[in-house]
Amino acid sequence: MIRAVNLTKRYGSLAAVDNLNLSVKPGEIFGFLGPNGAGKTTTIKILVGLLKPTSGEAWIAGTNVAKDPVVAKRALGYVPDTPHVHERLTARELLRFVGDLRRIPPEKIEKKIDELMALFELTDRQDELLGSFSHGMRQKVCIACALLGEPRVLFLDEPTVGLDPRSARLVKDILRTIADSGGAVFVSTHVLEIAERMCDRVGIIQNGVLIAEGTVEELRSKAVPGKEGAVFSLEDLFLKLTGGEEYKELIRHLSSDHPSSDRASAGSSAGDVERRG
Amino acid sequence: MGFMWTILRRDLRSVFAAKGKAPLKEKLGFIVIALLWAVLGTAFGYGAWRLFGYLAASFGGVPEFRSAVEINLLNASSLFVLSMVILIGIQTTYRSVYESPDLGFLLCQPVPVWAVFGAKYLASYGTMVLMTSLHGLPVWMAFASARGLGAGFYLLATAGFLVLLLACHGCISLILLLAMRYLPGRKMKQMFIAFSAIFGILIVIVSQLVSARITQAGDPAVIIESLGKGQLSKMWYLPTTWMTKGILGSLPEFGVDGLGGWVPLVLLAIGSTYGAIVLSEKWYLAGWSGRADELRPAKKKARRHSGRVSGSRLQGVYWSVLRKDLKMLWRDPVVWYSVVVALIGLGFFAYNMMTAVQKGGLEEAHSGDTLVSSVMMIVMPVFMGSVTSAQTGGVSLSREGEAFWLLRAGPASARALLFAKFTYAALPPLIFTSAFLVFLEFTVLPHVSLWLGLALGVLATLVVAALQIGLDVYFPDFSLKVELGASSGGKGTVKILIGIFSSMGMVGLLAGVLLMPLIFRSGGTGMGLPAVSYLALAAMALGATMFLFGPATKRLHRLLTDM
Repeated sequence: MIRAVNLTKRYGSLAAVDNLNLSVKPGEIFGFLGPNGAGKTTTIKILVGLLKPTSGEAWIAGTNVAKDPVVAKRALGYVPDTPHVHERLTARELLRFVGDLRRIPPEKIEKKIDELMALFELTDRQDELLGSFSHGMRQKVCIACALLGEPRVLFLDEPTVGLDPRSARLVKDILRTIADSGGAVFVSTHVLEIAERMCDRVGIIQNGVLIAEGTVEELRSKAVPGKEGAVFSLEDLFLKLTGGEEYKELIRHLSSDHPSSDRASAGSSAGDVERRG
Repeated sequence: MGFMWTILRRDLRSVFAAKGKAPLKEKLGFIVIALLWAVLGTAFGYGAWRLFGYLAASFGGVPEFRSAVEINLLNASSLFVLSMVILIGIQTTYRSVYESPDLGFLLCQPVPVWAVFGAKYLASYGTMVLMTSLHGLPVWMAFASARGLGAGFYLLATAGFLVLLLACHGCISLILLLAMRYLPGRKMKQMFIAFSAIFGILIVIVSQLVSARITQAGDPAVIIESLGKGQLSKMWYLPTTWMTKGILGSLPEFGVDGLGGWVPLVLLAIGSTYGAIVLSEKWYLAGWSGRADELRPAKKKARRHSGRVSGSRLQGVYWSVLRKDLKMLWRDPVVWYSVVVALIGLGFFAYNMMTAVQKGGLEEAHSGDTLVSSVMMIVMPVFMGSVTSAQTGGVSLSREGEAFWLLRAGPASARALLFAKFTYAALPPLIFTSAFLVFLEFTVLPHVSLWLGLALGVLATLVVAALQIGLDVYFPDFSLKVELGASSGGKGTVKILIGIFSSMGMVGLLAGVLLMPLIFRSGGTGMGLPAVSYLALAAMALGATMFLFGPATKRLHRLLTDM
């Protein structure tokens, strides 16, 4: 459903994405993890046809994205990392606009909008201008835009940022439903708990290179060979793979300098770091 | 005070650092703007210097009369500055004091609120000085030069100008502080925008009335009287009068009480600035945090926004984008402002032409040949429409802003999108031209036949709209936010000005094409246009269409798929 073949994107001498290969099958939720600036958003932008790769190919539902972007985009839904919308349109009008772009029959658009607005608890606000919406509400509208066309492939870049816990849970449930009905979901996130609980497979990218890919179990066995029985969280694995462990000593040092560290000898942030380490 | 200077210093440094590290294209743009600013200032100054020289030569024998006219001219220029401050100063101050992106960060720091406010207050004051000095200072400098006054007068005039602006800025800030504290932010902004629009339209009407009077009068005495209605005694309550009195008080031959001008002006400047900074400690934080608040609209009123839905509406990229743009246009105060301004301009143009025809002036001017007038009747509405579209449809790709991702991620073909934007850009000139040509049918004004005029108008519109869309596709600025009288930043303002000036140039070129028979003196009698003009215009329209289908479409495809 989603396939990246030797995908590379260079900005001068910097390789934002370096020879990346991955594939996501129908019915699968793929979690894409990585530190800030690792190349997650660039990869997603190439896969959804917003950026041309320097070399390599991206395929969506059997269509080469670079060669036939309009056909590929018809098959996918995309939620960007920041929910920018037209402030002088209402939520309903924006969704209608997206539906018309995709040539969905008007009656179906209206029915689908009603459903999505009810699902995201926006029915009361659907006829207000988006300029008055909060960040979280705009995020919900963007997700609704992506779902309107009932896409076979869904890309979400940090979908839960700005959402309250109830809405974040709703989004997770929706993604699971889409995957269970045969769709492919590609989600980039910083929230490792989401990736661990929700994703069937995860990929970790660092400095543009996909350094690990597989189920969480597979990654555990790769990251800590010989300790298959030990209990490691995805956070531990992530830090181990991306070199985050080197900061632990520094954090411990900063915590010991902080005035509150005297009072909070147990259960403090320092203690938490120790436990995680 | 230390905190305030620290913030201000950082703001200044970041501006210059940003310019220093900017790409060459941006640096060149900055240099061009600075040069343009200097050239315009010099042109204003030179024009005023010639006028004061003319007064000295013509009325040197009657010094009282000369002085009276000079006072009125100087006061009129100060009044113009005051108008500009009201028109754009409110928005400039609001943007700096309430919408600077770093305010959230600064207000979280252990810094007194008044220091943050004070730094932004001074920053917006600096911006206002830069924006208005182009119109305000050159006239005074020209006056001093024409009269051969010493360096002290130049300093005094500059000081008077700066104090006047400080007083105006202080008053605006006080009003903003009070209003933002007690009214919901969005409502407040809407009110200020509406006020600026009405004031701007009033200025257009008054200036057009003066211009009409000057056009009809042709007598220097009437012209001077029209420009200088504001006698100091009649306008004693205005700070501009205080400034004029204060500065001219240093010249005994004017017999003006200088101290009577300086005292209230300086007191107002100090009082309003001090008052704003003191009150900011109480009101600023609450006003800033409530800037996005709005009175929740009643459900019934809110429902109105979505409108009726047709079950058989036209779909696809072209229709959905055009429908969306027109819907947003309907809710945009900029469009109503620019349409009203263009209509007023067109109305006065028709009125002046009709008056000239009634007086027989046109026949005299063109030796019985009405070709120039006929061409003007076609290109003027195209021009007025293109000025409107330069702020709306002509920059509609840029105005997609950050929401452009919706089109990029949607299945939007470049060609359909380009033609939706083109249609949107062409609508104002087309509507203006059609309406004006129909109106001409009922007047005595010289004009070509309705159908020929419409055909020529459509071709001219096509060329101008293609130019605007081409500029927007090749040089998009997705941070552009057009607001009344200005845009969100210098870059946006320059983009719109370039759009307007290049449209003006293109309309001039089109007029030149239509006037070819007159230029080459190869016929063109009566109201007819020779075939060579039709062919040249058709060739330009064909070229514009080919440009849209070819390079512009390719460029837009790139924006959609690789940006």
